[in-house]
Amino acid sequence: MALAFIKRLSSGTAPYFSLALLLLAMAWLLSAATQDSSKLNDLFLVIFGIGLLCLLLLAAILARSLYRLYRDFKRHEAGSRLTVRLVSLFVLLILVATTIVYGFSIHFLHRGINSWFDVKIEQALNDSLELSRTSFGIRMRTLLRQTRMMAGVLSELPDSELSHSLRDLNNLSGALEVSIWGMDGTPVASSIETPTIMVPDRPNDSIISQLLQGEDYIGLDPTENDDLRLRATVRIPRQSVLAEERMLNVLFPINDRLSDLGETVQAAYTDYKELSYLRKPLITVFTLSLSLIVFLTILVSIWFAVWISRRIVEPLQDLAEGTQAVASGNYNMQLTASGHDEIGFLVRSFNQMTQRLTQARNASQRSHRLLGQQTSYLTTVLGSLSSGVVTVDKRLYLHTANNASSKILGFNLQQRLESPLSKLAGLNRNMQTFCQMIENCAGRGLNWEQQIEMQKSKGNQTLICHGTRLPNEAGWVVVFEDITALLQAQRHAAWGEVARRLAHEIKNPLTPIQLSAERLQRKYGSLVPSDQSEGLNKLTDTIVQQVEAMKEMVNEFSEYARTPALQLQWHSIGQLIREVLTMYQSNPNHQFALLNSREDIQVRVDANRFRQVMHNLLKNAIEACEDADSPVDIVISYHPLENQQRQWLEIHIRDHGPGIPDDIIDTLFEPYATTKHKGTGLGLAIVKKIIEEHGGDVWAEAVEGLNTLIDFRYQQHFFAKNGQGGMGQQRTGKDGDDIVLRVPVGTEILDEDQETVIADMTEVGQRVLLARGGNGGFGNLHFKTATNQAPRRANPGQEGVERTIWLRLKLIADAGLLGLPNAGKSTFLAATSNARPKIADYPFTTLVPNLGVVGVDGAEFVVADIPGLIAGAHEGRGLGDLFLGHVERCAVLLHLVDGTAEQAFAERRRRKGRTGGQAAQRRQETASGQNRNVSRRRAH
Amino acid sequence: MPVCRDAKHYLRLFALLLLGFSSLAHATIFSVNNPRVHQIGNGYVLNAQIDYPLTPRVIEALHNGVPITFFQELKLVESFPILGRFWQWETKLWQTRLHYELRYHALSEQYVLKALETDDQQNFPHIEGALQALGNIQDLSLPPEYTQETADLLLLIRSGLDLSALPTPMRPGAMISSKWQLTSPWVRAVWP
Repeated sequence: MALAFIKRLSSGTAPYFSLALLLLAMAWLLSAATQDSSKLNDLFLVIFGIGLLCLLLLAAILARSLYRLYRDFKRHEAGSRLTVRLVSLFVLLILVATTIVYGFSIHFLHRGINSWFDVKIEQALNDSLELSRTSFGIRMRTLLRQTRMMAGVLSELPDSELSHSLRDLNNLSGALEVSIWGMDGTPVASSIETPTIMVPDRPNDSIISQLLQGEDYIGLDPTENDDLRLRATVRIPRQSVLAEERMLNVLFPINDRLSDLGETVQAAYTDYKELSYLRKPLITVFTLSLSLIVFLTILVSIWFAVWISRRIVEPLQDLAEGTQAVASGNYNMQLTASGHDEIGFLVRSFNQMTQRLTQARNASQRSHRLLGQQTSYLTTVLGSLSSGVVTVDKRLYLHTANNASSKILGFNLQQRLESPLSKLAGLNRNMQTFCQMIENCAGRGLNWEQQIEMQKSKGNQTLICHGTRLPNEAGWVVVFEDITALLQAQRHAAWGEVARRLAHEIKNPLTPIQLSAERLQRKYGSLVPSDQSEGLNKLTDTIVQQVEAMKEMVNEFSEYARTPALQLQWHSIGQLIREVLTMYQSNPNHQFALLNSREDIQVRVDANRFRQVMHNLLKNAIEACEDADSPVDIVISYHPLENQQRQWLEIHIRDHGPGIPDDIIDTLFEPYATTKHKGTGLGLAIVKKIIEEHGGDVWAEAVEGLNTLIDFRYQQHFFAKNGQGGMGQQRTGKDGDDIVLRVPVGTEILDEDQETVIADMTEVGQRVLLARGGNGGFGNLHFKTATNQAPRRANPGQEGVERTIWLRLKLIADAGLLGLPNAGKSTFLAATSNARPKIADYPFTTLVPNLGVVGVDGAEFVVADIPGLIAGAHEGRGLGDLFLGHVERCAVLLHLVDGTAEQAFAERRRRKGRTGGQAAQRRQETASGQNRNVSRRRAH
Repeated sequence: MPVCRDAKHYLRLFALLLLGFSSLAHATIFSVNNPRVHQIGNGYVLNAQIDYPLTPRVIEALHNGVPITFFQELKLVESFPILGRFWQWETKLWQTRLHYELRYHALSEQYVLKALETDDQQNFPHIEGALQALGNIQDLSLPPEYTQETADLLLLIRSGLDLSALPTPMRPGAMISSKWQLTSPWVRAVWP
């Protein structure tokens, strides 16, 4: 409970002041109590006790404060060090000051008190007393003698005369009192001078005992009035032994003056002695009071110092804590400002600082967010650009690249960020061109523009690149675009313009020329003599024809330049293509195959334009094959394709022509790009224009294809390479390279006996192993074991396999038409499919198998029309039976029988002679086919 | 907490010191011997002998001129025994205090004993005589009004030094010093 009390006292400010007041009161009381003749004299000890209690209480409170301070210091609390320093300084100051004052006060106290007492005075007083005693001593001896004499006189007197004698003696001696006493203290007789006193003064027992010891007594006797008397008590000598022992007690007066002087001396001496004796206790009391006051003062001062220090340091402590909070990232600290001194100013400044910090941080966060938004915005914009944007830092390292740049360059740049350009250049030729351009232009000024050419599978690609230097030497930004299409469009536009102008200009004079020529013929034909009229007609006809041809050309130009609006409608692509193909059925030598023809694919095209495209392409293919004297065998196929989240229809038109030379492959689809020595060269340009109007793309690919085994006619032995032998340093020899024989689809591989089928190559990409290479030998390394580290045995290799095979190419057909020659198989085929085999009325018109695709009820199948079989064909008669191999794969064989067979045989013999005319007939057919083509074109 | 521990420690030390002091105080104190009450006529008188073994410190003070005051205290008490002999209810009927001053007269080298109530003075050449005379209580009459019924009456006597009569500077020292704490305990007088 006392501790709680102490605790309560030691907190807050009120106890301090009340204790200070108490201290003052205590000091005053103590000083009052030490003064002499004061009412508080008796209370001195009480006050002193209270003072001690206060001291103890204060000491306890201070001890607790100091302990708290020490604990805070040990815990390294904010402000504790400063508080301890301040308190130490204060305590030092207090202690030093108070100790000095205390020391000097004690010293002065001692000196002051001790100065009252002089040794000489003491000596003087002693001497005075001695003098007094001596002066009295003389008188005392005299009186003692007198008393003895009186005793002697009295001893002879009888008891009855004692009182009378005593009176006489009293008067004679001038004594105050004379009395006789028995030795036991009983009075015998007395004579008192003063009438007021009734009872004589009895000598006390010590005097009596002294007398009993045989010694007379003489001495001063102080009275109540501070007077002095002399008392002499002697034994009265007794006459006889039986008589009672008696003593005589005489009191003599002393001269007033002497008495006074004696008393004065005695009083002075006693007082001085008492004072001198009290010196030490006085000093002790004063010292104790002073010490109490001093200790109380020290304690209160120290306590006050602690309190003041805490109060001073408190705002600094808050400041230190605030600074720590700010350092750890909490910027929202606001301290309570107090006071108008510098510390208050510091606190206010701190608050301002944290406010600004908070604002700055918020602003920074905002701008960071904005920056993030801007960056994502920019990234999105760059990502959706169609131009390639590439940034390169000053060390020529790739920094950023957007999606379009990777697409344009055909290389994923985003996986190669932070690579040096030199490394990127080594990846492929295009990248080399690109990187070298950047390197070269990096040395130029702020902006540069450069155009570069790149090689792509589709052809050449032109890029236009702009470079800009980035600020602060951060590098360069290169923006490039694929302007190939743009250039081509420019060319097209230019051509179109030219074409249109030219067409317009040329067309005008053509009609007058034609009309003039016709009029000339009409008007002046009759005037010319008949033998020359044919020549005139020929000439005018020539003019008219050539003018017609020119008109035709001009019309084509106009057509190319013209861009009438497309009339898009949904059509079945298969149907469209087949419609186009029907027009090519006239020539039996031209084979067209439409593969994978799904009927359900619909496209939104302008049908007329599409037909034009197909015509142009097919015409090109046919002419290319005829020019190279290779069979016209065109395969058309189409399939849907998804590219870049759009549905495309890809149409392939494949021929087996001589291919496309590299130098014109780029400009193939441009006007006047042609390898033909006749024609306008606009065919493919028109195709491209139309396709592009539909939003599509057309390109040419030179594809190698195999459809004959002709390669194996001239080289029949194939050797694979040998493998390498083993070498020193535990190296294994390399395996020999494989040799691949490429055969067309449909080839059958037979063993040496021409009967056993080793493999049937019916699919593209199929591979079969025909002869395995020899087993390689094993060196001694192969036989190494844990126990035998260097064996001495080895295995030699074994020979490879040598094999003879037969290759047989069979056409793949679903149904085969069999029958006697001239049975009508080709007719049947022509009637049912789109194939146009040679049909004539003599047998064996079909010399090689014909393939035709027949479409029935949405299903398609390939029918093979093979040459006719006659009796004895197995013996080699007619065309033999070797071509029968072609129908081996057919699922169905149709045997066509002519109802009029006997006549057919007869017919054959008759037309045998005409076989020589077959070639002419063919040619004629070809010509008529061509004419038909021409006329068809005109009809457009 | 440590402060608490420290406070207790110091209090214990203080108590020990006090105990030490008090034990020392029991060295030699005044004692009242043979207090007897006689009946004379209708009244009662007290005879007692008190010993005054003065300590050298007191004698030194006496010789240095400090007057020493003695007191003799008498108390008439009526006691009602409650719970037998263990606890008694006492009511004080009468109390008196007699003071005597003993001084040393340097000139005559005598010890002056003065009864402060009656101003009677006696001089003794030796201190023993003075102390003997002081301690000799002869026929001290008790107040008759209280002594009517002597059934449960108790007379208690004690004697000691009157420290409050000492000069002020000496008082604090005398009050805590064992050399001055010579007061006798209360002694019960024997009734006839």
